Amino acid sequence: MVQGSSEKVTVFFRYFLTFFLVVTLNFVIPRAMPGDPVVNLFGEEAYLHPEILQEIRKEFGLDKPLIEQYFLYIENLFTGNFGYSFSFHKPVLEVISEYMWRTILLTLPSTVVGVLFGVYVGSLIAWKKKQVEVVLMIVVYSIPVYWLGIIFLYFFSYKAGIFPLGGAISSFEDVNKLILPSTTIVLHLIAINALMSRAIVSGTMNESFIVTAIAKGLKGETVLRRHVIRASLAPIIAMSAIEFGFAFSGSILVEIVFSYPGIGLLIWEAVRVRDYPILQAIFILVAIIVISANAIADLISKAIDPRLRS
Amino acid sequence: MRKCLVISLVVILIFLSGCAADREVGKKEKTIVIGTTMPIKAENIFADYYFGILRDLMMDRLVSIGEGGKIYPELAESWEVTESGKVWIFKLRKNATFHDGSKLTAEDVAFTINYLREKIPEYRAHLALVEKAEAVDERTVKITLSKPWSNFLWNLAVMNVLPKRVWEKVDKPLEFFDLNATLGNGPFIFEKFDKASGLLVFKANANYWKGKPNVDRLIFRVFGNDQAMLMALLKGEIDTIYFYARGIDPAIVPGLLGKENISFIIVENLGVDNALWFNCKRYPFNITEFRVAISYALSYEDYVKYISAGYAEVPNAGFVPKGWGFYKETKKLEKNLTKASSILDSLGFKDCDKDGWRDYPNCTALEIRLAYRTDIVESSRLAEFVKSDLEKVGLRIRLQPLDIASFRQVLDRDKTHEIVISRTTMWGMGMWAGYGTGYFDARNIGWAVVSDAEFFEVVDALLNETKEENRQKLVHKLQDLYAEKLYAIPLYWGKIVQPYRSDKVESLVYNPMMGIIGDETWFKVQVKK
Repeated sequence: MVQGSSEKVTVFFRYFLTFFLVVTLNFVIPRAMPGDPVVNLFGEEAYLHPEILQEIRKEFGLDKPLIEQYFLYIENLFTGNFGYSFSFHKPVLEVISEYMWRTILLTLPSTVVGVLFGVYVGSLIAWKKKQVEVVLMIVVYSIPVYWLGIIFLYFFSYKAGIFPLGGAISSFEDVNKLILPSTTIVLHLIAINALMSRAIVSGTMNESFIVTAIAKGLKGETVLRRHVIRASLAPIIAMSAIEFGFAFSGSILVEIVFSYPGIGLLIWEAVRVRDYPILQAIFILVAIIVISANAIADLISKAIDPRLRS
Repeated sequence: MRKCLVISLVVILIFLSGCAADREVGKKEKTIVIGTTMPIKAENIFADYYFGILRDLMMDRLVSIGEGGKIYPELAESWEVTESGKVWIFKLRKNATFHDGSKLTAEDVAFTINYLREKIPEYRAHLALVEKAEAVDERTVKITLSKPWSNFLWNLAVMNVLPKRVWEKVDKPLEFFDLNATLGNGPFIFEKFDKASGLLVFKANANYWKGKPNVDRLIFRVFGNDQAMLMALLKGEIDTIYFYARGIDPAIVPGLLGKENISFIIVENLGVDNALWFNCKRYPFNITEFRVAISYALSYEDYVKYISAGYAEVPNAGFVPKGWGFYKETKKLEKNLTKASSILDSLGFKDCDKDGWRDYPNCTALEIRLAYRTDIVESSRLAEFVKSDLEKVGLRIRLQPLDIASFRQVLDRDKTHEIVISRTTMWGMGMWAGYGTGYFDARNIGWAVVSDAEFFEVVDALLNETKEENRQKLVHKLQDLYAEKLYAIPLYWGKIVQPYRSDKVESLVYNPMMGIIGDETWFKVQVKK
C-alpha cells in the first residue's frame, strides 16, 4: 500500500517536473531567438525612434529584467492569465480560441483515423510479412507533407476542380475544404503509425508465447487478435498518445499549403513577428495535452497489460 | 449496401454544393477578386500592418503620390506654405463625405493629425515635426511645424483621415475592433472579413466624391502560399494578385507566358528591387575604394537575366531609378574583375597566407558576412550569385540568412550588419529627405549608416528647401554623391510584373506606391464577367 502511494508520488513528481521544464523552456526559447518583437510591430518603412521603442517595451513589460519577467509569467500562468498578444492586440486566449477550433476540426478526426488505420495496417503488414506494403509506407512517409499537399492541390483542386484551393470551414457547406488537408494528414499518419506498429508487432511475434500459441494449434487470426495485438498494445498506445498531443500543433505545413487559418498558421505568424505570449500559450497547451495524453496512455497500458502492473 | 450508396451520394452532393458555393464568390455583377499572400489577420488599420495597407480603399488622404513620385491633391484641393516653411494651409474639397453620409471637415483632419501623433507610434515619426494642427474653418486646416520640412507632404500621403466622432471616443486605437474602425470616406466600404475562408469583402461607395467606382464589390482572398494563389489565378478563381510594393517573382513569369487569358502589366519599379548595402561605419566598408572595388566584382547582367528573368536593367551608380522626377544619368555599373582586384591590391587586401582568400592589410583573415532577407525569394537567390561573384576576386563570404524579425533587429535596431542585400519600397525612397536618403542616413532608418558631413549637408539642405529649381540641383548632387561614394550598390533596377485575367478585367492601373489598388484603377477598370 505504502509502496503504491510512493510510486504514485514519484509518477506525479515526474509529470510535474516535466511540466515545469516545459514551462521554463517555453519562456526561454522564444526569447533566445534573434528578433525584437517591438521592432516587428512597425511597418517595413518605419523609422524606429529609440524612445518610442522603449515606451512600447515598457508597455508590454519587456523592459523588466528577464528573471522578473519569468516570475511574472509563472504567476500569471497559475492564475490562468496567458497574457496579451503583441501583434493581435487582444488577450492571448481570445486569439487562440478563435484559431483552435478550426485546427481541432481538422486534426482530431484525421489523427483518430490515421492512428487507428495506421496501427491496423502496420499489424497486418507485420503479421503477413508483406514487403511491398512496407515500401509503399516508407515512400508515403518520405514525401514531405508540404509537397504531398501541393500535389493534392494541383491534381484535385487545380486540375480536377473537385475541391477548393484553400480556406477553412466556416459553415456546413464548406465541409469539402477539409477533405484535402485531412487526407494529407491521414496519409502521413497512416504511414508513420504503420511503420512503427509493424516494428512493435514484429518484435512481439518473435516472443516465445506466440510460438507456443501457434504450436497449440490456434488459428492465425486468433493468435493475432488475442496474443500479438494485445501484447503489442501498450507501446502502440504510448506512441499514439504522442500523435494526439501533436495533433494540436503539428499541422503547420498543412495549414500553410491549404491556406487554413488554424493553430499552425497562428504559430507561423507568431514566430514571424516574435509574439512571445502567443507562442508561450500554444506550447503550454501542447505540453498539457502531450503530458495528459501520456498519463492517460500509462493508465490504459497498465489496465490492459498485467506485466506493467508488476 | 443501399444505405451506403445513399450516404455516399449525400456526401458527394455536400462536397459539390460546397464547391459550387465557393465558385459563387466573385460571380456577382462587377466584382473583382484579388488574391494576396499578405497575412491579414484583423480589421484594424493600426493593429494589423497588412490590413492597414488596404486602408486607402476605405479612407482618403489629404494628398496622394503618383507618377514619378509627384504629389497630387486628394482630399486637399489646394495648399500653400508660408515663407518660413513652417505653416501649411490646406483647403479641403466641398463634397467629401464619410460612408455614413456625414460631412468630412477640417475638424476631422486636424483631429486625425493630433490623434495619430499621440496614439500611434509609427506616426510619431511620420509627423515628428508637427507642432499642432487646427481647423481654421470648415474647409481649412492649418498645420504648424517646429521647423521647415520640405518633405512634409510625402508623410501626409500615408495619413488617412479618420472621422473624429468615432475615434475621439477610442482611447486605445490598437484595440479597437469594430466595424466603425473602418469607417472612412474612400471609394469602398468595408463589409466583412471571413477569417475562415480568408475573404475580405468591400462594396463600392456610391457617394464617393470622385464618383462611384466601376466595381460594385471588391474581394480580397488571402492565401497561405504563392503556389495556391497562382493556381487560383490560372483557374480564374481570382482576377489578379496583390502584395504591397511588389508584383510577382519574375522567375515565375516565363511559366505564365502564353497561358490562356493571362496578361501582364509591366511597369518600372520606383523602389530598388535589390541593393547591396554597406555598413559604412564598419571597417573596411567605410573605405570608399573598397566599396568601389566590390562594385566592379558584381555581374549585373547576370542578375538581370537570371534573377529578374530579363524584367530589369543594369542600374546606374546613382541608385535612384529612372522613373523618378529629377532623375540624373550617372555612370552605369559594370563588371571589371581586373579593376576590382587591382583596387583591392592597392588597398592592401592581399592573400598573405596563400590560402586563396584575401586578408586584411595586417594579414589577419578577412571574412565578410553577407546578410539577406529570407522572406524575399529573389534576395535569397541573389545572395548566392553575389557570394560567388565576390569570391572570384578572393573575398571570402559567409552568407547570413535572416528572417524578417531578425533582419529588422540587425539592420533597423542594432546596425551590426556588414553587407546586406535588401530592397527599398517606393514610399521608402521618398521618406526623410526623399530619394532614398532615409535608407542611407544614420539619423534615420540608415541601413548604410552614412554619417559623412558631405552627405548630411545635402540631406539637410533638401529637408529645408521647398523651391523646385533648388531642389532639383540638390537631388542631382545627391545622385552624384551616391554614384561617387557607393554607400549602397543597386544590383538591378527591376520592373513590377503584375499578372491579371484578361478575360475578367481590363484597364487596371498601377500606382507607383499602392500598386493596382490605387484610386486610378477603380475609375478605369473594366469588369468583363
